[in-house]
Amino acid sequence: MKEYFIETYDLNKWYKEVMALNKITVKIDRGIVGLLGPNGAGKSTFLNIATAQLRQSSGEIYVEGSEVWNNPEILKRFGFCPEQEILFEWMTGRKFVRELAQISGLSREAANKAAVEAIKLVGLTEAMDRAIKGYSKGMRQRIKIAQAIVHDPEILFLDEPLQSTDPLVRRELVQLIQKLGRDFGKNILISSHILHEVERITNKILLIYSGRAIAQGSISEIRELMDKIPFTIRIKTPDRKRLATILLDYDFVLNVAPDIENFEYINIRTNNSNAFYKLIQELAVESKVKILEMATLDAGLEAIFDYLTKRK
Amino acid sequence: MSVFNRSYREYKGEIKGRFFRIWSIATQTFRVQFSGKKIIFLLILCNLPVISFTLMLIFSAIFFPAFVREFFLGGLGGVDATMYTIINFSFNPGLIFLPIVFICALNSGTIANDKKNNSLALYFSRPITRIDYAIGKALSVYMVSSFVTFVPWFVFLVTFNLLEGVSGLAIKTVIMTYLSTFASGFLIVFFMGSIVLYFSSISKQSVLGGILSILVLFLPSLVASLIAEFIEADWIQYFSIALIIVAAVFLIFGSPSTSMFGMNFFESTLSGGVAITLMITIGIIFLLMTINRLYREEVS
Repeated sequence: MKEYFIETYDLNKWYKEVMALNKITVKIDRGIVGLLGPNGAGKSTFLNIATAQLRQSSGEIYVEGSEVWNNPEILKRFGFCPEQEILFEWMTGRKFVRELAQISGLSREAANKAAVEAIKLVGLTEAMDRAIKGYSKGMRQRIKIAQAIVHDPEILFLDEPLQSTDPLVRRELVQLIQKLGRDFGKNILISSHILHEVERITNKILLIYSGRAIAQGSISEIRELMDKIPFTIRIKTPDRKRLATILLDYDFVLNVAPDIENFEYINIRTNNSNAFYKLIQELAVESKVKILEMATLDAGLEAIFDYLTKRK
Repeated sequence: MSVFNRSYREYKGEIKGRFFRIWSIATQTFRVQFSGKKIIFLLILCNLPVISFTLMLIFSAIFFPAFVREFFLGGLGGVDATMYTIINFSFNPGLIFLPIVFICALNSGTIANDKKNNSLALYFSRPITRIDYAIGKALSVYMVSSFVTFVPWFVFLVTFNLLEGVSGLAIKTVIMTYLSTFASGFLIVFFMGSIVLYFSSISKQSVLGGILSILVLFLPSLVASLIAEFIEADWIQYFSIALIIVAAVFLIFGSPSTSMFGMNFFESTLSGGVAITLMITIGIIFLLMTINRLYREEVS
């Protein structure tokens, strides 16, 4: 068995003049892997090419060593949860999952049984005989996962599967995905634009930004990187002048400036978040600096992507 | 509280073959296309000629004296001539718009709706090729369209045979009539269905697909009638869908004697061979164009 379940070489995809994927060459490890990137980064395009929805403009992609385009033999082993919200609205959840199981090659009886079990697994049994048009966003998400796992595929592609789910369902879906990957040995590629969401499921990630694969590795490495990236903190305080004077004495504070939109706030740029937060606590207690509000402005994924892109 | 306190079960059963998967697409689509309430009304409207003939047969058998019934059944001619006449009634230039509108209206959403609802992703991630998808959808279109062709025709044939009875010598004619009816129906369904299927694949809007297929099926006849004002030539008639159907069916039925109550109906002057070739070729071309289009289709 190969070490990687997906391999791509110079994978490109254009939508007319727009380049959605730009020379992606990656080898994705077995197990659960998070495909991380902001909206419009090319995650869905990558998943659509990997599942034979789209054909690449150039380059090569292999899943389990086989080309996927027009290859039903490899597609038999796939389960795909697409991002789109609209499904076969007039169908009941059970019928929807059953019909798709049949198209995967399960006999009617087996499909019906498998559909009921898959629906039960995602916790939709009570709603399975209701039309999908009456489903909430979270329920739609769950029925999409049910149709992806109904035929017991070896490889799962999940496009933003936790989107629109409530915290309880989200937790359970995370457990389900982990179970499928760890206990049943499925290879899972799961896309998301939220780091902590993926972090709860897996430690292995592939970062995509503006159609390019910019980093691959463990989330802990990304976390370390986050701590080194300069970022801005916005503080509301009546002691603006005093706080600014104190802060500028420290090396890890790069800049202090009043907020242009609201002069009650000051914006502090730092390259060491841990040291900064420790200092703020000390100042509040020892120097009696009044801190009314504090918020981080750009410590999200976007900042990491920007940083990695510029560094590249 | 845990929502998913159940364990995942692996599937160890059989995975069916390619034909089963194609058939699953066909039947699923067929059920969707046939689920509307307006369908029944359209169906009755399009099958009015067949329904009228069938009801006439039944009423004459129940309410009329034996000699009237014999006159009526005898007057219709043999079973083959009668069936041929019925087909021509349904598809004559004056009434052909009904089955065309039915076939186009019901099938124009076959692929368009999947595109509109982004359902293509759900299909194409299954173990099917785009050819399988196209064939599944085409089968569904042909099945739906059969409800204005050989399904009601078979109902009429069965009624006719039950009322008139089949003697030993007529068995061969009866069997041939059933086969010819099926062949004629399938030829029409394949020809028109493939055209509608193609136009259903070009847009997300089923209405647009329907309008375009109706135009494609009607425009040649209109153009031909305009040209015929200036040029006198037999080949112009090949532009008329109604006339090529008549010619094809006439040949399939073995050029039956079309005398009904002494009147000569629907004798075709066009070459049946050319008509059949045209219909099959056009059907295949549109089917191939649909497959080609699906291979170029990008899931949005």
